[in-house]
Amino acid sequence: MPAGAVSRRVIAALVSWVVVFGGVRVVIALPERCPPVSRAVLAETAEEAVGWFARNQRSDGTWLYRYDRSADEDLGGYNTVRHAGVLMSLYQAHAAGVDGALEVADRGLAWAQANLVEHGDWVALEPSSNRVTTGAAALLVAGLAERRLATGDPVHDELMRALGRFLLVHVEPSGAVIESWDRRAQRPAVGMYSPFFTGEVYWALALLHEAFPEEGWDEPAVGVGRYLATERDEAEGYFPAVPDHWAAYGMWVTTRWPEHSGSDRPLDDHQVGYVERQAGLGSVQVRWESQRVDPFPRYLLRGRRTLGAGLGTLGEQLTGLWQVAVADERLGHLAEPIAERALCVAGMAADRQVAEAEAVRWSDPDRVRGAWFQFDVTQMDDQQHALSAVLLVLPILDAQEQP
Amino acid sequence: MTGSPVLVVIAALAVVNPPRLAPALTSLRPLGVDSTSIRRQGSEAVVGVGVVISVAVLALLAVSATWVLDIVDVSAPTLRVGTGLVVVLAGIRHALGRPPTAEPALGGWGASLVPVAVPFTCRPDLALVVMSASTIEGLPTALAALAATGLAVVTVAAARVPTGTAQERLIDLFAWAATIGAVAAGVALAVDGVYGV
Repeated sequence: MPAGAVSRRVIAALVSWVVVFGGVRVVIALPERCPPVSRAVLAETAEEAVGWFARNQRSDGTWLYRYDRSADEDLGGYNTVRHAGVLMSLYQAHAAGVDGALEVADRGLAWAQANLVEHGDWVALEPSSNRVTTGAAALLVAGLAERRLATGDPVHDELMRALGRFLLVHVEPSGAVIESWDRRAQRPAVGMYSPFFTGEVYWALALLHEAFPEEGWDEPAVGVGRYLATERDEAEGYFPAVPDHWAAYGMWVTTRWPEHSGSDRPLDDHQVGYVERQAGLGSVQVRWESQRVDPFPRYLLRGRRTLGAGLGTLGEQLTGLWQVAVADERLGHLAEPIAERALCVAGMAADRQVAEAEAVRWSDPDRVRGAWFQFDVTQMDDQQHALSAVLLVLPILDAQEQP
Repeated sequence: MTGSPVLVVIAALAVVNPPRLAPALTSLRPLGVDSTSIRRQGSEAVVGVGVVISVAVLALLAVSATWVLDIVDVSAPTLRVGTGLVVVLAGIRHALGRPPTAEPALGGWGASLVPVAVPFTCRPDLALVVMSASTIEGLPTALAALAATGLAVVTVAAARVPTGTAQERLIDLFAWAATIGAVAAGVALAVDGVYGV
């Protein structure tokens, strides 16, 4: 056989190596950029985010909702559920030792207390709409529970219980959660569900049981948790499954329940499977996001970077799942990779936050500094979720620093 | 992410597809060398040496896989997604492409390099499979997949299935099963990577 023919065969084989490895590198396995994370970086990021809420809080306790830095324009609007969510994140920040977070949160709580809806033995949170959501009440419970855990102050216990009774009205026997109360019809909006409120209600009920373990909040919490793990995505038509950071929070709390003290298997088998699937859903999004670099040509392959809120919810989900994986021995093998992804989120969040030096280049630096932007627009929940994500990763650093 | 050792072995076998190599391996001769010693040992010895060379090279890649991924900032699940897609493409190529031939080849023992090692067994798709397996299922699984694949190639060569026989039709059937297996295993690997943590 002529040597040329053999050479061509060898060259073709070498080319196939270059094409296969090069193709995989360029299309699938782009570098995953996870900026380094340190306690100091996270603390500064959290302080800057809390600073944004402090500077952009109105006299009535609400915050600047949506802002365009290029036009220096307040885009208006407001969302009650997100108001409650911001409260919750600020109480988390107070628990983590961020100065000033408690005062800012309490001013937001005052607005919430002034806008409660009362009906029978329950209360909910909604200033004006006829759609009184379970999400707002659930996140207000979560915020108050975080406040109670951090301060030991029981002053809002009755409010927590009254909000909890509102939530119970909306829990169906299956564990499904009706998304809202129809104020006009004076009944739950039967048949309406939310991809987020179910997990929020689960978390709130779990926190209520943690706070008041003798009052029976565990039974509905377990029911909603089971529904989330086994039925929700199919029954409510979500495909792919909802990556649910609120459910992760809820499961984390259930592992802390007094009855699970000392147990290395606090979850049921369905929940173990659910956590494994959820960890996968969160992880692939983190890997994808960490490959995103806005300039051309990477933009063509991975699209634009996600919102601060999108990045933050990934961190919240993974940190919650990490806590669960640490608590339940059947999930122990996931703890390390989940921690790696959660740290990656925290690093990206810190890296993408607008620093003081960059903020001064814009018309209103006070509205820009400490925030996360996409297309020059930020929304208050960008700060909320990113703040939670950087705070909740601290226990992972603690665990890694232990000998 | 615990992966699936069985899936990895199936993928490794399927991308190489030893039954599809059977005609080429059977027609191998110690070409260009009129060496009675080689002729006595038969082409399966040449195939065996080629397989050992390939396994050695690919085992090195498997051993260094974790280090390589760290250097290039790629996570194990992401590599698995890429591996799965490449395995699917290998299956499609098996289905649509021409069967491999023994020619052109180096003569004598050289045939263990070309074509047995390159391009039959020391292949980029198999390299990806064993690197991915090494980072997820572990190095023993990666080496086991390599060993199984190498053994299958040598077995096919040693079988020397005559053309036009029922055995040849059976080998064809196995080749198609491996082709379908490559597509199925590739999809499964990609899904495993997508949902990997």
